[in-house]
Amino acid sequence: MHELSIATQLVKVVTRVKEENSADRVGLVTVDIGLLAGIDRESLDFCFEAITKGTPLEGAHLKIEEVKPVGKCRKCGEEYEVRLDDFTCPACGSRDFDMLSGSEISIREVEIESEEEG
Amino acid sequence: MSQKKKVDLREKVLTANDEIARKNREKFADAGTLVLNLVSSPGSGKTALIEETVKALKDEYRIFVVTGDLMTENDAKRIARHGVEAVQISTGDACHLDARMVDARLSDKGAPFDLVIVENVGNLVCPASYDLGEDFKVLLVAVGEGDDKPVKYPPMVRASEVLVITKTDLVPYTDSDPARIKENALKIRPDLETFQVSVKTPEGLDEWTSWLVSRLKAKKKTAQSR
Repeated sequence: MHELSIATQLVKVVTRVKEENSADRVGLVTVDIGLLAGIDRESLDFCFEAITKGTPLEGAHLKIEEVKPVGKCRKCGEEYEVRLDDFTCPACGSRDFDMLSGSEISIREVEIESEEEG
Repeated sequence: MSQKKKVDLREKVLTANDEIARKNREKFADAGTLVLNLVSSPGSGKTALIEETVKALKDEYRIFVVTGDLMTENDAKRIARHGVEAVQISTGDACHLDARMVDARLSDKGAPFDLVIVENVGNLVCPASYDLGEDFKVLLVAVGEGDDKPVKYPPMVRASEVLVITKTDLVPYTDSDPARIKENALKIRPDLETFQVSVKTPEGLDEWTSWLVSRLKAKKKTAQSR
């Protein structure tokens, strides 16, 4: 439901990158979205397209990479992809674990295009 | 001819919010202010729990309450009746509170508070992503709203440190079992501090407020040694 505000933040960051690099166009924007981030990927894509239309970022597209939630058991050391309804370590049944990934909302890479000088 | 280039970024999207939240947390740490961020579905009893908390603690602690809803000032009015300062953030269409909103409501307050309670917008999805600078998120799940609520919304359970199961007086009238709600939540976050309360009977409220008092004292102590 907050995909629009996430998309707005994305636009801010991408605009900054475009300006810093004096780029003319932005292509693919790769973002990492954890399955535990509570972000609907289709909706984020839709919001990003909608708010960049008719702006200097028109033509930029999101490439959304899904990041699986991975836990690491503190008891037996097992690294495992968590089941979303039960984070318990599948190897030893321990509930003492750390989360290594799954909550991220981050921009990995921005593809920019500049007209060659001269 | 045009030139294509890839810029490696690896940047968090919510950096701007996180930065304000960090500053909020720093200010609260200096002042020894304990900050709770209450999250739940609409209607789980956040406002009622705040009212009871305020009644129990207002004589000894300076309390400030920030409540968020899309529309109306009803909740802030309900809480202000108990003689504590309460402000409403009417988000209009936003589904969550962010760190800037909280900072804006608190920055013009002269005297520091001992306890700030933020009642987030009733929503089990979006508020999970927004750090406000709180000490911890308190997740409320009411008896009767579905004992599997925690496993349906794992990101919010992961983001919370405390679970309060509310409306336990309704147990005889429903198929709901607080033990099952708790068990489902612990599968997602095993180190949750859990409470079971009813504002009607008033089961569990003493336990909740005593625990809060211990956290209030701990926060003050940490601030003094900074």
